[in-house]
Amino acid sequence: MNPTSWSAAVLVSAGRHPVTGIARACRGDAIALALGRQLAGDALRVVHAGPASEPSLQDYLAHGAGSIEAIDHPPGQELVHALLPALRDVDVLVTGSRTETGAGSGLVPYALAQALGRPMIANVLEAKVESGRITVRQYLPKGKRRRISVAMPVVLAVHPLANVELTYAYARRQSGRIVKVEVETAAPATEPLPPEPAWRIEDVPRRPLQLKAREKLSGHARMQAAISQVSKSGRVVNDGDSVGKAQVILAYLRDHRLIDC
Amino acid sequence: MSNVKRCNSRRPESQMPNGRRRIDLRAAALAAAQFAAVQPPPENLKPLRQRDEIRVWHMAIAHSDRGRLDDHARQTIAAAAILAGPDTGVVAIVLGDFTGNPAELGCDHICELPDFDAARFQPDAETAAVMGLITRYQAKHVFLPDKPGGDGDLGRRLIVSVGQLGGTNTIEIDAHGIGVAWSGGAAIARIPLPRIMLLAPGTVDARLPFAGRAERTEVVRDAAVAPNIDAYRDLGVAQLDAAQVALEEADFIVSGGNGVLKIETLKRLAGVLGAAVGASRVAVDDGRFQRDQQIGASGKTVSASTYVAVGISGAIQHVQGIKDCRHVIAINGDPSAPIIKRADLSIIGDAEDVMQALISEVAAARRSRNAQEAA
Ligand SMILES: Cc1cc2nc3c(=O)[nH]c(=O)nc-3n(C[C@H](O)[C@H](O)[C@H](O)COP(=O)(O)OP(=O)(O)OC[C@H]3O[C@@H](n4cnc5c(N)ncnc54)[C@H](O)[C@@H]3O)c2cc1C
Ligand SMILES: Nc1ncnc2c1ncn2[C@@H]1O[C@H](COP(=O)(O)O)[C@@H](O)[C@H]1O
Repeated sequence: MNPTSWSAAVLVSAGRHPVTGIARACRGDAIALALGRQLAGDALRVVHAGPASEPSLQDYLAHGAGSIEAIDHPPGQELVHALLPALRDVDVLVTGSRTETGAGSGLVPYALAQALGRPMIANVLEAKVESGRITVRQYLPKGKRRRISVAMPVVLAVHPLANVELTYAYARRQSGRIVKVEVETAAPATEPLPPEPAWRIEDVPRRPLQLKAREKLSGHARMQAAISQVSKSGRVVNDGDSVGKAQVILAYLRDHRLIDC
Repeated sequence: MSNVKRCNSRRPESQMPNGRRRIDLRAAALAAAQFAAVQPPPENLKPLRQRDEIRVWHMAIAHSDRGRLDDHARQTIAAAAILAGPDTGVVAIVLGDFTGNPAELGCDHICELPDFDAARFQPDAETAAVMGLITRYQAKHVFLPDKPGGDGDLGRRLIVSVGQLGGTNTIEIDAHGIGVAWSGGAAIARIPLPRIMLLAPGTVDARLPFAGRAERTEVVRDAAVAPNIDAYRDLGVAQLDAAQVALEEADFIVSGGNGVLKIETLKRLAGVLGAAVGASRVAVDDGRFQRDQQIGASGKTVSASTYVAVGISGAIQHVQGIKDCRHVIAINGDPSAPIIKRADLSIIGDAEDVMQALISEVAAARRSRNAQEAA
């Protein structure tokens, strides 16, 4: 369990309850933390970008983080730039799939992997380290799972369905520490990016509008559309014995490649 | 269940001198045949969206599944087409093979990349190939479905490669910009149309009143993009056992209703087809199935590619739960049951007999395939 030759870190963000807004651990990040602890045990570093006073960090202590490094970056500086110096030597970087506040775009692990020049695997359900390589099980929709092996260093974004046990211990919450890390505010070597358009947040809850193609129809055509019933039903098989009917179903399944025989 | 043939109450009729109606059945049959003959084939009903010279491109990108694009992918192409101006063309990049009709989807150009189908994991080579096409077309806006599988992953890789603000989990889109779900959907946050955006399902209505030009583009394999630049070793995809998969996630569901008397037969059918088992509310209330197998308005909403409804009438509350299913096959004794309207294939007959026959047909097909493979 205790890695000596490689290091691991997990990124945890500030969570908010979706209805009450109460600060708590972001669920996906707590799952990522648990998966990281399965991999690296107590050697796992836990890193947060933001002020050390963030109330939800206490929850991560209770979920098993021994100490949390809070990297306070000046507002305006890119999160990825702030995190990079602390993560350069990490062999296995574990993140959640998306944050609970803000855009929750899930882009942070991709951007970090690109900045660090490392392979990145999303939707990770399980991970195992063997002699410098890491083998993961990846979630795919429709009950499919993929196994991938990759050489370290690597970035893994954990899927919320990962098979881990979330524990909560009040004693750990009391004994854990939050360490504030200062970052040197060296300007990034690259040219400043052009200013990006800012998000305009509408607080008034409303349903999103669906985009529809506008159709210019004559009055007659619209009337026809309203009164005529277009039955879009498919093929109906009424005749034949049940064997013939079963063959029709089998042929349909084969035509659409829904069956493997 | 009734075997009585229904007759058309609006058959052509004539008035007899004594004032009574006279219906001539032969004339009625003739009129029906003529009506069917003059109906034009539905394919070429739609006009082309644009005929001008194309100066700008919108690009939609999606993985296909068994040669088809699902509704979410079609919505994404529709967004690219609806937002396209008169000088803008729509190019669709299909990762995997594609057997559908690209004109119907609104594509002016279609480009298939069969080497990058969803079954394979080669994100670096795939991202490089798609970035090459984005550059080649100078695509002004790029649209992808925000799916947990390959499309969402590819889209995020493209956003960080391009290095500009992109839209993920987009729930609203129009000519002015996009709105994304903010803080888990508590609010909507808007920005002007970004270069790359990933659309949530249902953001766009996929029905289009126009067609695209559907020209095929050949992709010359770029020698610089070697297929094995990936650091990843793909150890293969496994399908979970149907019994282990939650109904919401299942790809093949066999579902039983009030018309299924022998549950064992239905379960055996699901077993040979590798399908999960669902049920209608009446069958659940009867105690024939578990509560968590109920599909419909007060049960689960499923999105299986294939849904076989056995002995289910197709009440609206049930059909609501299967609106995302691609292929619906109904087995029912009643040719006027509402499920027939929803189904792509309807078999009228006794549920038990058809299920038994299907079980032996599938088993026979499996046997002959295994024999072929062994030979
Ligand atoms: C508020 C509300 C919520 C509801 N929510 C749900 C829901 O979530 N899910 C749901 O399913 N329902 C729901 N319902 C119930 C729904 O309206 C229907 O009553 C129910 O779906 C009917 O189930 P069924 O089709 O199995 O039964 P039936 O309507 O009895 O249909 C049985 C069908 O089997 C056929 N059949 C009979 N014998 C045979 C045979 N031997 N061979 C072949 N075919 C045969 C019949 O022709 C008939 O079409 C809800 C209703 C309400 C009011
Ligand atoms: N401020 C932050 N500090 C630490 N980790 C973060 C922060 N923001 C995002 N992350 C990580 O990146 C993942 C994806 O975040 P996002 O791309 O913002 O949805 C999260 O699940 C976290 O693991």
